[in-house]
Amino acid sequence: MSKIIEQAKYTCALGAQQSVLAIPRAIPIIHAGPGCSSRQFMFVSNGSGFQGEGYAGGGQIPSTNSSQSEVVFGGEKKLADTIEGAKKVIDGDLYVVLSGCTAGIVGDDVKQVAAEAYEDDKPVVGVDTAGFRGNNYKGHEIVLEGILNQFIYIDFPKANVRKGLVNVFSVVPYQNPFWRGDLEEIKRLLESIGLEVNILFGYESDGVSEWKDIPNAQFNLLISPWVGLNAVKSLEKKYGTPYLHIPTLPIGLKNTSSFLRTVGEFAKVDKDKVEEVVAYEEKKYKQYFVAFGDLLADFASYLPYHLYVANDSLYGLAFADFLSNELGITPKLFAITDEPDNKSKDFVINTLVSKNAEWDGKVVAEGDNRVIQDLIYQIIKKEDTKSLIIGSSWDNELAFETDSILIKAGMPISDKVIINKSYVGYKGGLTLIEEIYSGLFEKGMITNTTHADKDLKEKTCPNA
Amino acid sequence: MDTIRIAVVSSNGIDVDLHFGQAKEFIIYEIGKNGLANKLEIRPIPEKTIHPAQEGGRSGGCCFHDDGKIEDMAKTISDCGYLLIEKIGNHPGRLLQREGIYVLEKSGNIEELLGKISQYYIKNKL
Amino acid sequence: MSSDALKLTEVEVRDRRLKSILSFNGKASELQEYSRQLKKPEKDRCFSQCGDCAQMCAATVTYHIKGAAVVVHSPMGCFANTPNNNEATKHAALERGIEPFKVQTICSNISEKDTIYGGIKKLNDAVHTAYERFNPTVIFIQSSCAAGIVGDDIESVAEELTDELGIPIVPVFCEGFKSKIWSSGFDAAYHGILRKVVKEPKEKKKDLVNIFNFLGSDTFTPILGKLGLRPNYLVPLADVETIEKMSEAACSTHICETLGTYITKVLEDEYGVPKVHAPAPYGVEWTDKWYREVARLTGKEDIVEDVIKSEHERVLPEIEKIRKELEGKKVYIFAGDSYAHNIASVVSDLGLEISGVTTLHHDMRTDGEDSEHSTLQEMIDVAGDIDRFTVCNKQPYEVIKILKELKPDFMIVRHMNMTILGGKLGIPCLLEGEINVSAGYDGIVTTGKRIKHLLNAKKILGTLAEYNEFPYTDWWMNEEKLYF
Repeated sequence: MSKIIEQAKYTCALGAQQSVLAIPRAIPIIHAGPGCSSRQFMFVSNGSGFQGEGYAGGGQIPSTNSSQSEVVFGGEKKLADTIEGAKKVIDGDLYVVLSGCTAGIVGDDVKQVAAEAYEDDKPVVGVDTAGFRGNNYKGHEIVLEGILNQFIYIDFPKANVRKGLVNVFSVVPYQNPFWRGDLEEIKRLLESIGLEVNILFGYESDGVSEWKDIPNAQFNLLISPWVGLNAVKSLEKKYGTPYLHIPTLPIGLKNTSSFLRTVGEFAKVDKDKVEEVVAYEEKKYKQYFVAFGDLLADFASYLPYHLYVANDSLYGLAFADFLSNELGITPKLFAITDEPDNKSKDFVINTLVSKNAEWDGKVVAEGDNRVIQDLIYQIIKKEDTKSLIIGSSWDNELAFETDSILIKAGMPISDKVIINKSYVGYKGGLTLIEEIYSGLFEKGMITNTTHADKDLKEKTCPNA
Repeated sequence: MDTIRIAVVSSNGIDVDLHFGQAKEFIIYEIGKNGLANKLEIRPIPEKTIHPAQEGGRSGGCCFHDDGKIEDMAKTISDCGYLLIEKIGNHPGRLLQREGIYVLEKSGNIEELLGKISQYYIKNKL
Repeated sequence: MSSDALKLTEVEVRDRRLKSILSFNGKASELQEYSRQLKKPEKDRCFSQCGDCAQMCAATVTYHIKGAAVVVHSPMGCFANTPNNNEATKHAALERGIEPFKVQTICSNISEKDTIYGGIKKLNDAVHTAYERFNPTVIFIQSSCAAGIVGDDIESVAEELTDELGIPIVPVFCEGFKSKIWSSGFDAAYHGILRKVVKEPKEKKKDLVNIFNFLGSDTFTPILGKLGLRPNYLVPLADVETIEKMSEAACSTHICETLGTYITKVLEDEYGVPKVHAPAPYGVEWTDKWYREVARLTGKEDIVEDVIKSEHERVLPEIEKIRKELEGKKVYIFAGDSYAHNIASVVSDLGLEISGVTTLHHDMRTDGEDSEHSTLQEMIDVAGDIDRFTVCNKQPYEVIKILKELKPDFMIVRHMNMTILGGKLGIPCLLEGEINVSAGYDGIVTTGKRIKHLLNAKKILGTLAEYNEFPYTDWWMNEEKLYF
């Protein structure tokens, strides 16, 4: 049951057009009202650090720009024409039709029309991502399902298993703003222990050829609490491919080492190889961490010790885990913003609490960031400990007024440029540490004596 | 599937070819459980005051109708879920929608168009 | 002089009211001839890239009203609200010397369940939530495709809640699919405001001039000040009281005819606030004409000629200086209907060669004007006929061909997501936003200076063009036709 939203943290199912764009040379075709595609792009582009249209996104996306009457009396013809036009004008390897509210009610037809336009070298699939069906996390799953069911399962019904090949299902493109850097790092980590990786999305993917290779994987790797679970289950059912479900995206030393070991074991990779990589990475990481230790030691009484996380299941869980367990910041609140169903929500909570009981009772599901802010204000008011907020551009003023350090890690991030940054892995963990503790100095230098308490504070927030 | 009734505006009983301002009567069809359309009856439209539409430039455009008369028309077809007509202005269309009559604008062969509405209706439960 | 407009629940969409079109390719004078005859020049497109919708345009009117709240009755996709809305409001407010305020909007978040059982309860809750959270002086309810399909009766909800909450609840019928011309959204928002907010004038303010604009900066205080008049900026950043009293002004004008066509006409018909029947003050000649018209309507005829003369003396030499610096440069204009004409007027004063113009749609009529009046004709009068004039609703697959052929030195663009097309071709684009800065004689100088700075971008955009790969097939790029 969806609730009223004031500060948006996600968009509607049609936002999954961005998931299609994230597959190199895959082309979304929108069967919806005239504004739908453009609105999604505006939210995502403005809201994920100005990630622009890239190859075929933004204003280039073909659309039927339909009215409702058109859908009743001739939607299929118009869609068929638009698909034909798209195939002729836009150079792609896969075309995915996404239908919106105006056409959503006749969803089956989209699949049918797509099937009729299907050609071997220009496959077309059609999915129903009407805005009211859910948010774009749901939309992403619908797109995955559509591509698998209407393209991969049909054209590649048999698996030719290759040892060491893994398909990765993880971050939701654009909706998880650092997805490009994240996927690069995940791929690098897996390759470092000798695996061959179909990363499926992002600039290091070979695009559709990787998707065609999906059936041949030794196993599927789901790095996410719930988005993508249906896909890996479906793949297991179709090809018998086993899947490894790691709900926590690895950030920092502890979780990344554990990640590599878990994957290595499941994939039956040579244990020595894994340990070699882990040892190498850990050695580096520890040196960085120890060198950073001076700041920890000097400013020990000024560090942020309370943690508030407002993010989706995937990112949120990853940050909550790393920050509370490796950096020892005390859990105060984790607001899960992607509207998971009860089962998934409980799964996220259990995963977190079973590792660190301090999180018990401190995790809620809330899609409206305004409500989350009110909750945070209420709690912080009663405390006098410096806080760290994992939030978004909605939270600039909240952080300023409560004198908290803010790391923007979830939609919308509209006042930064994001290119290939990531907080994933050993490297990402260190980047995160850099940013958190740099936050101590945002309002100017603090001296390491008691004078720091009397530092001047600016009267108004510079970027509320 | 429930049956649904559709009011059609036509000059010749074969095509949907009239604007709201030109309509003199409604042809009522019923789409039965088998999905086929059945002509039920013809209902005359109560007299109304209409100023013919002026070409552009007039604020609000389209015909100005007496709201009361439009409501009377809506009552005439209150058992219908749809009005199939070539053209109708936003304002009368909106008023009809408020009475539960969904307006669909399209010209063409009545039988063909009813067939499409039937398919659509089956799928969307509206 | 009363009109029937306010009796209508909904204003007619532009496709019908103004016979607006979405495609044309030829000379500007040819389009003007088609418009005169209300003849549609070309077939509709068979293949289209994505457009924009009326919801978005309505939001530019309703989102930034001081003290107002907006309930978007839609699934989350139509809401698309980011902190940028707050930023935009803040900067514009500071520019105008007003205390900044936050945008107050919520989304009813229509779900699948609501499409089956109806979203009225949700909408009711949303309006109540807006009322409790924001304590607003007016609440707008924006409709959406989903709400339209479900058949939610927003009008009744608005009426009931107006009684219950004691503040105007204004329905805005801006469903995206209603019109192919997204500017219809402006009319929808204005119509709501006219029906439910604007009041009968209690007095007439002889020195007050309504200016319909966006989040524009305060360039009209000096412009009108020279005639001893003051601007009444509408609607963004105005508070509800100011909007209620727009009927008390001496006359109404706008910064873009596409924006202001409907509301200025209704104010004239309904409240006797005369519309300034001259194009907006962009470019020297247009500004002269506009000044004279405003003066005529406000009893300032005795001073206007002196004002024009002294302004010419003050500014023309500066314009001349910039003309020399921009000499030989070719510009391509890609913007909304009417505003593109404004831009053409300005750049012709800067001595720039206009390679071509694309407008995002074309209204063949203007509310309340006869077929002879059009900013298109006014543009031809000051800038000359434009040989390469197109109309298309974005469609970069079409515009890319024009740009590759014409190779302009830079572009002036006023719409989102379109400058990247220029960028990928290495062409610097001036992205126009609030456009008040380009108004009046000084606006010409400002535009010239901005263009000068803009041209620096050529180098980095050259790198972008080098690294870029367009998604268009060879077949399409070699095809002669512009669209199909």
